[in-house]
Amino acid sequence: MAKTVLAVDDSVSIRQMVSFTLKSAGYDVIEAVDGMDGLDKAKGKSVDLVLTDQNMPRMDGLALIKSLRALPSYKTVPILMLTTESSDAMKTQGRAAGATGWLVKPFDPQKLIEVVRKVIG
Amino acid sequence: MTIDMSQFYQVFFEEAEEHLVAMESLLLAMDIAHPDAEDLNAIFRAAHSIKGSSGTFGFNDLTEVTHILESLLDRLRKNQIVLHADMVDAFLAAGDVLKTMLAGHRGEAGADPAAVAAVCARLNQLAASGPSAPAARAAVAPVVETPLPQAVGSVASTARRSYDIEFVPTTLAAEDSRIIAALLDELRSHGDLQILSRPAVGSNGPGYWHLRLATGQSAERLGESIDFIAERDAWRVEATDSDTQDDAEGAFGLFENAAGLPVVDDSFGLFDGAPGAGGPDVIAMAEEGEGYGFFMPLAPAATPAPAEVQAADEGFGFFAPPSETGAAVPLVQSAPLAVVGAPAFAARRTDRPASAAAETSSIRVGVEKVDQLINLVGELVITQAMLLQCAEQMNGAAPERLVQGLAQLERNSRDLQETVMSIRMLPISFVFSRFPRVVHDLSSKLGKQVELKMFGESTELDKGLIEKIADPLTHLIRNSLDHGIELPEVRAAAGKNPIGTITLRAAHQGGNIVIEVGDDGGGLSRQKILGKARESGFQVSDQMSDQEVWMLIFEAGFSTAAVVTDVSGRGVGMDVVRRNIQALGGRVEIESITGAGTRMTVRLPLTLAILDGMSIAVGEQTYILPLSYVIESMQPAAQDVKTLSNQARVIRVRGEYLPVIVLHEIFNIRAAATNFTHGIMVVLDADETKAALFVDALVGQHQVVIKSLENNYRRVAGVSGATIMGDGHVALILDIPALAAMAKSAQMASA
Repeated sequence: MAKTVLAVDDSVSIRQMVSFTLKSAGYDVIEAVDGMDGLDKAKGKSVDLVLTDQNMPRMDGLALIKSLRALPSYKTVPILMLTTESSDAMKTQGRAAGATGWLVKPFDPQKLIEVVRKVIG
Repeated sequence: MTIDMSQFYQVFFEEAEEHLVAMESLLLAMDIAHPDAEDLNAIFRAAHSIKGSSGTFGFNDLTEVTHILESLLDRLRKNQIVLHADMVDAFLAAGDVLKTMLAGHRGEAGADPAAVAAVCARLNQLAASGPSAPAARAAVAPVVETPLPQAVGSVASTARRSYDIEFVPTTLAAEDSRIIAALLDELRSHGDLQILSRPAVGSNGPGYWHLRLATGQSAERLGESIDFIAERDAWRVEATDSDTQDDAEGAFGLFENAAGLPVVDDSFGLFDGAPGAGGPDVIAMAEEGEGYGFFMPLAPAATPAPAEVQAADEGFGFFAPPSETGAAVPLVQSAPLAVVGAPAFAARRTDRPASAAAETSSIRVGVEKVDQLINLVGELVITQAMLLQCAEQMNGAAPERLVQGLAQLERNSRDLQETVMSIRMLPISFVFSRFPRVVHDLSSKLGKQVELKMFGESTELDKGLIEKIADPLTHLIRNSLDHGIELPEVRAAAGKNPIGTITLRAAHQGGNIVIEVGDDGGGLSRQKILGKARESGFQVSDQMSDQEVWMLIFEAGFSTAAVVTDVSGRGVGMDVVRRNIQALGGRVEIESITGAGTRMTVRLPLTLAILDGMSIAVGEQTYILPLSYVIESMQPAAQDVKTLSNQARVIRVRGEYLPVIVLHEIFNIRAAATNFTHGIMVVLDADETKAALFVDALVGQHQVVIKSLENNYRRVAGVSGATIMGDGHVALILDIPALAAMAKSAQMASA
């Protein structure tokens, strides 16, 4: 059965790109438009991987990650931050929030597939 | 497998445009003395979002500008620098430039490189002059995507130094030779460039570049350009004559050999021991030796790198375990919905117009599909009307159930029609939203202080109308600003608030939409207008009512402006405004009180496709009159109808003489009634002119679906369209203003 990825980003074009790319690589993709939507969708269906942007309205990426980790079903699900920089501050905060890792934007489709494969196969 | 990114471009363009619109609107509404933190955040996020997505889809020209914009905005929202008015103007200008860049990518006229350079220069200057910014640097234009101009305006503000620049480009940059070429061009514009090492042609991988640049630019500025096209943390800019850390920018990567050296890929990483990172799948894959070939970076001397442990084969950028126990414990929040970094999102500023946001569920549909749908529904209504008429003509012979069914069908069709028409309805905020900017720019240009108030922005009207009403409304507003609102000193001297107000109001009234443009300026001057009219040779009299005097300003060539500004005053505006509004089936009225202000009211039918009409008969033909023009109808008395010297006819209605439109003569039809007392006179008000239409009989009143005669046949004078009646016959829709004008000029000619 196909693995499911939850893609959380407030940008429609990025979501579409991520969704299309991962679907062509054989994954199922659920989209969410911001942190709160992401939390709702994650509660609604368990997914195998969460990709989340940082800067979003209503609830940002770090808050989403923290909230997800507080859910029993999401204690060990891989969560990757989509960040615009690979700074130390980002890494510290991400790690503290419970992120599994990071992927820097902008990324191209190839890279995305490669990374997702690496994490969930 | 390559993914075709161009399929996402359209969505990106629309999304970026929405962000730009939001940005502008927030900037215009911003209270510069006390900027709202959440608004600053929102503006930052908009710029940040455009930066991210434009970078993803390769529109680097936008990325460059939004990068500078975003860093300024970031400092603003963190209170590191203070907001002031010319910053807002610079941001607005940046928004404009970004819009033109987007247009360029969509295939329309693109950005003017000089404008782009100017905006970047301005933003850089602002960045440099903030209190916590480093010493002021020369502003330099970044590279523009296409065409690639020389960087404009680079000024060496410091002595020239020689810099070593080393980097490994991103895969994207390595694949698109224009990107590196553009970088090299940009560096050349800064000074003397030498290429010490470059990837061998045909080598795999992104390769390694080593340049030397003699320039007056700062390392930091150079670093920004390099950072953009280089792999994360895989670049370095250092002055060759210095060994202090200050002159080195960027994380250092160790490059022993030239071509094809893979390098630290910090663009992706997993935190070692983090949940989800240590799964069997991951380890299994790593052990398969897929290793990306990540190499240990050499940390820059002064800054300690985070404790990154990279195993030679599997290293992805795992973090070292945080503690001796080696177990990473994810932070568990007791309040899972804590929002990091942003204040609580209480319901705020409810008077903002609703934006097309992700909150409502919607789908995008092409306009042609909607038009097709409307057309088909129109046909359906016509067919149903025909059936109904057939049934009625059967005079009771029709089965009861058939008649009932048809009546039901009529109700269904009407409902369907209304719903379908409403698909094309959009809130007038689509038009209104541009006006704050217009008022902002124009009032500062004219040295006036004006506040714009808008009401009824959610009032809906047909999409086609929205596009056509924008220009006339803009002209009315510019007119109010230019001629209505007085200069602050003049207002103060008159005891008025030096800040003038322009009010925009929209509402539904019956089957129409009513839009008011009002100002509290000086009002119209009756004497001035009458005087100017006489000067221009118009026929005027002191007996004219105020309304009639005000309407003179709509005459072509009319202007009482003492000075012709490039805003208005040439006298070609108002008549075009009226004509445009009439072409939409609407009318415009003026009210004014000297000293207090002026109000223009535009009335438009809600849709362009359906008409409330009165059908009239002349001979065997049926014609349709738009109901909005009809004042009354009557059977004339012989003594009220007079013939003028040139055969033009007039009829006396309540003391005034109106020209008569004798339809059967104009259209050459054999009429039943040639004697005026045997027919009906329909009194019409065609905006500028009143007239009376002479017909055989009134038939009825219906809603008709307008079909274009021009598209199906050709343009015919006096006819504005056609429709199909219930009995299947075609009825022509009369162009009342045109007919009235014809009759009026005949009347005037003989006067």
